[in-house]
Amino acid sequence: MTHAPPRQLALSAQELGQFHAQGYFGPFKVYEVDEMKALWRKERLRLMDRSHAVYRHDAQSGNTNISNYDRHLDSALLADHICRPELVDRVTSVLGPDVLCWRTEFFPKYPGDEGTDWHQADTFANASGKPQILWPGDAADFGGTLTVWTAFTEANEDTGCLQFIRGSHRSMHYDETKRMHYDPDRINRQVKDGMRRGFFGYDYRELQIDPDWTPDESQAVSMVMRPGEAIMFWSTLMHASLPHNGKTDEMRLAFAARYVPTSVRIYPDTDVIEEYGGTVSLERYGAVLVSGSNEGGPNRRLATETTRGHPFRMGPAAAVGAIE
Amino acid sequence: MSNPTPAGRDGLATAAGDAAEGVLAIVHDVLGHDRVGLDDDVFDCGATSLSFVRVLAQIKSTFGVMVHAAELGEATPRSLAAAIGAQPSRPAAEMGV
Repeated sequence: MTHAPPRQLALSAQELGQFHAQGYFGPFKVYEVDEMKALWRKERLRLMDRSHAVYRHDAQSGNTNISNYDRHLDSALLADHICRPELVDRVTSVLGPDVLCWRTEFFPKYPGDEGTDWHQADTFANASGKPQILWPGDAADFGGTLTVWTAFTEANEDTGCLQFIRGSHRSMHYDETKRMHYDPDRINRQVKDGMRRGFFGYDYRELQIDPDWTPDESQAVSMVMRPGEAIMFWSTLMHASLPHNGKTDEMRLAFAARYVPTSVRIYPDTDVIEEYGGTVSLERYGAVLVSGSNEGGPNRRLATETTRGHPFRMGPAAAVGAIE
Repeated sequence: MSNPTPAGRDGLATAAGDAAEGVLAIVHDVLGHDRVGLDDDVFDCGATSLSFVRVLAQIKSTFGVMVHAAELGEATPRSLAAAIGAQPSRPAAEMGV
């Protein structure tokens, strides 16, 4: 029997305990600052060539460009990024050895842009009305995805960094079976509890289980990050972002990669994603196996290389992790 | 592969130099400020992907040259000017502008 080498960057027992208590781990370094800046300068130009992107260009909408989902499926740099041990070692510590990356998203915030609403996501039915991930029946009470959010630029309280409410990941304040209504005209126009916030044309408060409840902003902590740093968190953790206050001309850009165990159904019973004012076909989509085996799993839409033929590089299988 | 201007290497340098001022003016116009120098990354100075596309469109209509973002080494006015200088210009009408 061949034993896989242990993952060098796996969470220690103490770090895992802290993660399970807080709902997040990090920030941690993935790239040096200057390395990240140099990589992103070049990649930003390359990404303007959408000829091999899996979603057509006409899926744009508002401040969220749905056509910028899943650029790891055509960009070699982003394909390598989601497979890096700095990410996957930590993800497998939490999810176990068999893991798929099912989504990546860019989160741009330009000078003057509003902050992001407080939110939690379980099935990701929030915007589309259809669950995008479903945990198996024996884990039906457990949902969400593990997100690794990497700052490609400075992400601080001026440019609009992430905010978390620690320990909030075990209890949902939002019901994703409710519907949010899309109105791009409200982008950058709403003030909520004294803060300019929105959700890319939606108002996430429409999903609140208790319409009269408000998040306790006194418990919010800012996650200040340099270019090349990342943070890993459950999507069920209460999270938001600050506005970009315009003190600098530089935009804030984050790249989020979302992971689930191979047992989770991805885009069940649908061939399209319809949200944020756009519709894209999943005909060229594939989830990426970043660790372990997909044997026995429910998902058949898989990608082993980008649309330009660059292979996704899976690292050594992880030691067995625990899902709590 | 495009043919260089008839003046050869010196001609390329001259063409890029002539274009630099024009490119800088376009960038300033699209971004709405003049805080961008020849060697500044325009994205560090407030450009968005959309505004960069507008810059490329204005370059096309002004210089009769199609510059492809993915082929640029960096997003500076100097790099854009060099890309213009490396290509033969075509009349705007021929480019469908």
